[in-house]
Amino acid sequence: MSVDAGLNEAHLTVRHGPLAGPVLGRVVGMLAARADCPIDRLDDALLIADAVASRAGSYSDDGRIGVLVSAQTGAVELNIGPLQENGAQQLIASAELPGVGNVLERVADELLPERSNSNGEYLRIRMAFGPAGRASTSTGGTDAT
Amino acid sequence: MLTGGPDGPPEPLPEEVTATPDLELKLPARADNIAVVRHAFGGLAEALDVGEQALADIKLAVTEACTNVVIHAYDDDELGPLEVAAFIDDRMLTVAIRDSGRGIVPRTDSPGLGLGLPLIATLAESLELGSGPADRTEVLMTFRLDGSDDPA
Repeated sequence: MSVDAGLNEAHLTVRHGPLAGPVLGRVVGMLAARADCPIDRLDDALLIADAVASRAGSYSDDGRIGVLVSAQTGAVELNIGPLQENGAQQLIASAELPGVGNVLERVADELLPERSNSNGEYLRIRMAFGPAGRASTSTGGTDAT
Repeated sequence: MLTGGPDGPPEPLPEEVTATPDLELKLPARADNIAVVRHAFGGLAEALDVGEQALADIKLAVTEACTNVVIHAYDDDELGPLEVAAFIDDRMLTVAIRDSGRGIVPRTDSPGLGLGLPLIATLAESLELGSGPADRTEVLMTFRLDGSDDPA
């Protein structure tokens, strides 16, 4: 997966473990802030980053977490992978917290498992903020398929 | 190869840094992305309980290396990638900064003061300039993660 030079995005690959949370959180926070993400949604974005960092390594083949983080005006997207077969669904399911519900489903506007013919499975998480981001969110809510 | 360190002989560079890195970050080589790299190393330092002085040295050296990529690696109308890889081994950190640009060549029209690489050589345990995987230009630095926090 490569980055588009003209966009506000970064591709991070980090070994599953104590590094993943702090590093992914900083990268997501930085790009989201640069896209004028409001403070309450920035907190949500970091919640998503923490959930991904703590669990995604269990569903990848090599124990490494790959995340393409992109932020435009109105939305932040995390494209996580490659994951094992059904890894995207398992990652979503693993974010269930007793008494809280599923963190990813509650916070994200879109959860979209995607299959790459050559390179396993990916989970695209989209979190919208502000009128521009909401307008381009097709489902207007969680779409965990 | 350029090596250097402020105290005593420089640490030998890892013989092979083609191992899987603990952290890889790939971004467009733009000035505003250098802050993203600095933040990422802040997160790395938090996870590894790195002291303030050691972190400041790492951030400054990494910033200098990334700035070199942004300023020198690509033509003005070209926007290529900036790649950062970090390898952690027994309280030693090896950082590789890579680009796909023109390579490290002298510039008569350089906008900088030429202090970047000497500064990195002072801050890092060792420094090597060369070619990384796929013939990309690479600056390779090693740092001691448990360095003294005493600035003296």
